[in-house]
Amino acid sequence: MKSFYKKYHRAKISFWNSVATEWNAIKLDKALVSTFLSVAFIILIVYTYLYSNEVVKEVPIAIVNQDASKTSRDYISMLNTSKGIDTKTNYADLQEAKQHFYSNKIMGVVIIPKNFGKDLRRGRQTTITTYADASNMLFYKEVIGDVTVATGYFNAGIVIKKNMAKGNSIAQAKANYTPVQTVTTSLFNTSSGYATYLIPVLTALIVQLVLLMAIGIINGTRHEDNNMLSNFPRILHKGGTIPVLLGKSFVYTALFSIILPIQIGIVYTLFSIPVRSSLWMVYIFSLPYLLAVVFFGIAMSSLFKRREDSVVFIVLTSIPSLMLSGLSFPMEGFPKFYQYITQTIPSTPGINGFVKLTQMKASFSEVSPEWNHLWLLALIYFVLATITLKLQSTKERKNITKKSL
Amino acid sequence: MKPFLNIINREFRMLFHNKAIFIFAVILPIIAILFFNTLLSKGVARDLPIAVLDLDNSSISRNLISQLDATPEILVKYKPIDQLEGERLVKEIKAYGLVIIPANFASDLKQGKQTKVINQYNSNVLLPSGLENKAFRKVVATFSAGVNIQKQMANGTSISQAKANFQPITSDNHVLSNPYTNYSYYLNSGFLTYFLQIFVILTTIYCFGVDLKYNKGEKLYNIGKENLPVIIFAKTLPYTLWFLFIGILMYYSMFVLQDFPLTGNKIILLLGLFLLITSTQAFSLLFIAVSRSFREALTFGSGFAAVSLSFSGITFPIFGMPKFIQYLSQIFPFTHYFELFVDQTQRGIPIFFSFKPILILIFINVFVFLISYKKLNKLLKRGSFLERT
Repeated sequence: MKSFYKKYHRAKISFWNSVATEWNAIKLDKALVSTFLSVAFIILIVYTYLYSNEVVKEVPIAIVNQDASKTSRDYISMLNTSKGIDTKTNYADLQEAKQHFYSNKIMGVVIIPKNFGKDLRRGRQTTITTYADASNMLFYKEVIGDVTVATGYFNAGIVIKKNMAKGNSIAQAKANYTPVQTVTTSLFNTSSGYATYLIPVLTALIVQLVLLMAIGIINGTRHEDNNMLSNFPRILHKGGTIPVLLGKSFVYTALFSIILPIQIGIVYTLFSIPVRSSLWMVYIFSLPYLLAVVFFGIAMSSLFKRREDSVVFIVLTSIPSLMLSGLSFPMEGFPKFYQYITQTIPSTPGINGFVKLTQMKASFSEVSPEWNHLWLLALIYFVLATITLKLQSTKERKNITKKSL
Repeated sequence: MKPFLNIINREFRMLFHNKAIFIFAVILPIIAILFFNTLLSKGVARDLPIAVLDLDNSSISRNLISQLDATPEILVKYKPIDQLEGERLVKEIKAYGLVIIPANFASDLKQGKQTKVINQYNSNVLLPSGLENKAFRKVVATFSAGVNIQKQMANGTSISQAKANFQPITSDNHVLSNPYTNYSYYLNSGFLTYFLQIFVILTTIYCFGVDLKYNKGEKLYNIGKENLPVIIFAKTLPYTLWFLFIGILMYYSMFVLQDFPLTGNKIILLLGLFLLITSTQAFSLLFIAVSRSFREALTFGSGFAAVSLSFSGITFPIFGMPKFIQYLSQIFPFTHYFELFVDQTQRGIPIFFSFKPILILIFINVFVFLISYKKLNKLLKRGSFLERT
């Protein structure tokens, strides 16, 4: 019993010592503090501002009106009222529109054929031709979507009027025209806004970025200076690695439990991005995420021989880990190999769970698969981090003894 | 000429002795090419799982479900027992949408009453939910048109007349640039060239930074016979050529191995690649010149390269951004390169219209080089950064 208490007491001292050492290392490293703050806040604010218009509006398109009848002008004014596109009607022919297409002034062309009005009155079918540039999906969707909707309504107007001319009531005419109506509602992010979609993803990703960067920088410096042992004197005692590891992770977890609410508080309020869960829920969910990332970072950091290396590593892995989270391109579209790989990165369940909690108002039981996944990852990386820390300090001691010989 | 060759010689030795430079210049580009070419090899999302709640359970409703299932985008994977369970599936992102067929669907149709089919989707996953919603609308519209036309034909109208009655105006849609709306075409080409410029910026900063961090800048200055243009030229040229080679390899993987559309001019495309590499190198020199430490230069450089993706308009078109950001985006060489790239590969426009990005890239090249020249000269004379870290 006594020996157990002794062990506990030693571990406790070692734990608080490592907390103090790690905290001082962070505090005294000006460069680290500045990167920490700039990535956690400035990057997030800049990105949100970048996408703050949320949806693409008024994509310029050309209209080539070969008919010049009243019906065609009605059609154009109908197109004009759609939010997504901005019609430019002063084109005499397709050639002229082409020139502006080449110089990126318009993103699509709508051609109204000759005899458009006449054909419609005669009950003949006529065709609207649309050319839409799909080199960017966002404005392509706007152009094709808005033209389709306008044409659909124009069609319905004609048919329903005809039907009413036969003596049907308007309700009956509508029912005749579309026997099955579609009602589509987006459950969350109702305007399909880009910022509302991306920023929660980014917030969760930044947790991983900043932590990996900070851990990498600090560990890289210790690598350069060879002062692992003098900083953590008890690390090589029996079972001494674990309190050190826990002490380190305690510092980072505590730091982020302060940063996270500030991020959400400032950015989400400023750009009116919804938060649909309580702060406590976010805390409970983030705990295993933070731990998993910290242990992952410590396990990885032995790869960084120098201070700068981690900065680079982070820049290179940020886009792939965003892609692999499955929120930008559906996971089903990846080859099997990547679907397995992505399960080992903490950000995958971290991002998914964070988005579900804050955006989709998921209850805690609905994010429990992610939560359990994160605990599992935390455990695996905890073991790996213990091993690498031990190896690193053993190596350092060897070097020291070699030198003193 | 001799100092020039000496520095190049020194650079080659450094490439194989310094692990970091070797990794950035040789290993990572190849990994990136492999990664992005295999990640989105399917390009188009197919068989997105959805949930269907059939409250009607008639042969007609089942017909609609099998039509939904038959579209390439959608896979009817879940049949929840009630709406709550379905919404839960959507929340857990197991299903991208929940389609609800109301009770009395078949009998309403037979009576000539209007009926509704509901689709609840999840716009927090922007891309798949958009595809799901589009496919859903298409299927139901076709289904609805089928009912309408059948009714008309029962009244004795011919099928062609019935079609004309239903749809006085037909649409003839032409998809330019990317006819299959393949995401791989526009995401991969963006990511690959984006990563190329990250590697260029990292390698250039490293190859100068390693010298300056360990106080070898002075030595470099002496080898170069105190002639700054020669030093810079000799130090960057090997990498310009090397990354041009990597870029061509990347083009090869896109256009030959993966059949990405290439409808423009190949020479202009190569010229654009060359200018992207040199102007990125010019920016790297600027970051080295203004930084106090190696790490700072690296942070500036990698930060600059990292955000250039969002400023280039791949994800969100530039004209949809706030005005201030639109002006800011013009600083990044990648923005202009990507415009040229899309114009000359997918859009296939005449060369004349690509002169603008080319001229801008040349201007950026010269301008950035000129403003960093003086400071760089001072830095190399001093031989090291102001601070070690």
